[in-house]
Amino acid sequence: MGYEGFGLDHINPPPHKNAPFKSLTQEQQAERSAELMVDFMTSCPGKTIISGVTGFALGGIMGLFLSSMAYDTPLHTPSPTTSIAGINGQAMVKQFADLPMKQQIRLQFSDMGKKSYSSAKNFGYIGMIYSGVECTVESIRAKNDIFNGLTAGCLTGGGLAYKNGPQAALVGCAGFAAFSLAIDLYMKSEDGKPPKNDFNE
Amino acid sequence: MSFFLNQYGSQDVSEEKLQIAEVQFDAMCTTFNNILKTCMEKCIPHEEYSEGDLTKGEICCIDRCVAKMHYSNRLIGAYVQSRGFGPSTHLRHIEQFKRDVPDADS
Repeated sequence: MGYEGFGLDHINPPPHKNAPFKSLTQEQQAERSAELMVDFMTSCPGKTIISGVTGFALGGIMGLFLSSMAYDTPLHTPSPTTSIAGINGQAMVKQFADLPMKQQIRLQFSDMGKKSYSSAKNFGYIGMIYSGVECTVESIRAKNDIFNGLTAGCLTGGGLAYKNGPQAALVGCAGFAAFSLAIDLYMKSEDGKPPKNDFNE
Repeated sequence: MSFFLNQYGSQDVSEEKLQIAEVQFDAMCTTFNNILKTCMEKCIPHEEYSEGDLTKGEICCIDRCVAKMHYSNRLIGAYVQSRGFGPSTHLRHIEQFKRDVPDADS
């Protein structure tokens, strides 16, 4: 049923619309590739991939910074050097400090890398799922309002906390949806109709 | 107006073809403006915009709206044409209108 033009395009087709790529001149080729690139980036899969990659990168950087503060939090998962049964933590720390400097640095960097990678994966998932769900819901509904963000936030939060049981999934859904609502309302707070004319101040 | 390089210079102007062209243009113009008005009212919000570009939802809405309007226009036009709908059979009252309001014909 799709729209294919009023018929003028069939009678008198524009010359370079469907021409094979090799037959175009240099600047037309550049134009065509730019068009394809922009089309991909504004489509749903493109947006999902871009959000996922950006989330991964940001999560990695944040993980790097947060890994240095990880010893303070009670939720810090014990690294392999402290979880060996029968040896208490202080002895482990003393043993750790006795290693040569290079090994200490290497262990530290590997710990930082692991935490950074896990944080990057988490943020990458968040970005990917949120962007994918929002784009899909908006394409299906064909409307641009705040409900898309709420659905995407709920599915993201619920999907990430799904393994911890249904209650955690509900809490995650509600929390992430509220977060998405707050951010969207803030970004839309300055929207409005354009002024009728440029004269009144 | 070039009298020497005119590639259509050898053709005669036919009154009938002009009238047909006029009718076709009127039909296409009306259809286009209808589609434009309907889909703009349905898909583009009137209260608030955030940026000048179309958002994804608006793009999808416009695509679907134009496709539906165009298809239904084509369907109804084909049906009506197959029934022999024309000014002489179904629009006799237009002659009366033209007589009553002489300047309304445009």
